[in-house]
Amino acid sequence: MEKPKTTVRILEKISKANDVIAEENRSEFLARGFAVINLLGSPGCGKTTLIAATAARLRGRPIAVVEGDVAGSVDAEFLAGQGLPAIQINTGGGCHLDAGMIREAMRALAPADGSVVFIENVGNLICTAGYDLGEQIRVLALSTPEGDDKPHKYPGIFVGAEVLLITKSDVASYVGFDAQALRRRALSLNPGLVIFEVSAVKGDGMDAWCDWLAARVGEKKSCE
Amino acid sequence: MHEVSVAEAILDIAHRAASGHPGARIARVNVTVGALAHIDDEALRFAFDVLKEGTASSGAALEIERERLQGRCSACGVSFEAESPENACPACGSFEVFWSGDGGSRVVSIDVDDEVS
Repeated sequence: MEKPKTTVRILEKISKANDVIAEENRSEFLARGFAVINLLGSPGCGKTTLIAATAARLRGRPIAVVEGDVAGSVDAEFLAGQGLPAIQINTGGGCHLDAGMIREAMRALAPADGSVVFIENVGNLICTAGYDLGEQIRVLALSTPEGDDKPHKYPGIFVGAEVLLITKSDVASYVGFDAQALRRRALSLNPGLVIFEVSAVKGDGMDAWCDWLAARVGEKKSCE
Repeated sequence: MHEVSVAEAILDIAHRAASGHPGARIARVNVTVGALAHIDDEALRFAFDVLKEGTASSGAALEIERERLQGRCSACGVSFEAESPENACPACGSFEVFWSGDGGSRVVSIDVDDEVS
């Protein structure tokens, strides 16, 4: 005879444990006057170079960086060499940062009140999209050599982003990248997406992106 | 590759719910997975089966239901369900659609075998 079964209704989000910490982070960030940016993108799309070039153009507020990588500390060392306070998180094989990692890293980094904090997530277009870190702005970087077809292949990350930065715009013509096609595909997934084409190395488009960012994080003076 | 973290979270939620039923064994864990969550069913089952060993869920099956994608057309405002984010608005044909489907991943319920004494 089959044993009697009872169904226990739960209806709890699988991400709840992370979401609770993310909300605590967000409140803490707000209280400290931080503007926190979660930067997502593939390995090698230019996230670290972009952070350094953006930081160099932002005026008037302290800047700090949380670096996420599977292993190593080359990114944090590079940014420290640029004069930016930076802390490295090693996920040891984990494919994304979570809110608990950010809570610990921010305590150790201890940015000055009012800082603009960049979180460079682990290079990945899949898992990083599913974890709220408590950030105010989610920015996706996609480099031109990766191709203009990525929105169709990784829709989740495009749907969840507020800003899309098309990086390495200076090499677009060499790699057959069609920026209009990418814009059309990305906007069909997320009509509210704010899109900039930038080259952090050459400086193209960086002023437009930095002006937008400065306004978004409540700077009085725009970056130059 | 985040299915291991997802399976861990599912088991934590299931075990917390089962703690109100002492002595009961979890026979089945019922979850829904959001359409844009990028969770692979096979990888999730594999992780669940490895992690459940030695827990109150060791005999549990994982039942996965896929949520459909929710769209809201940016042109005409109609809300609709779709298979893929490449689908157009069924009312006006626009491809500019606000999608949601990553927030739907939930542990819906657990089925427990009541202790027969």
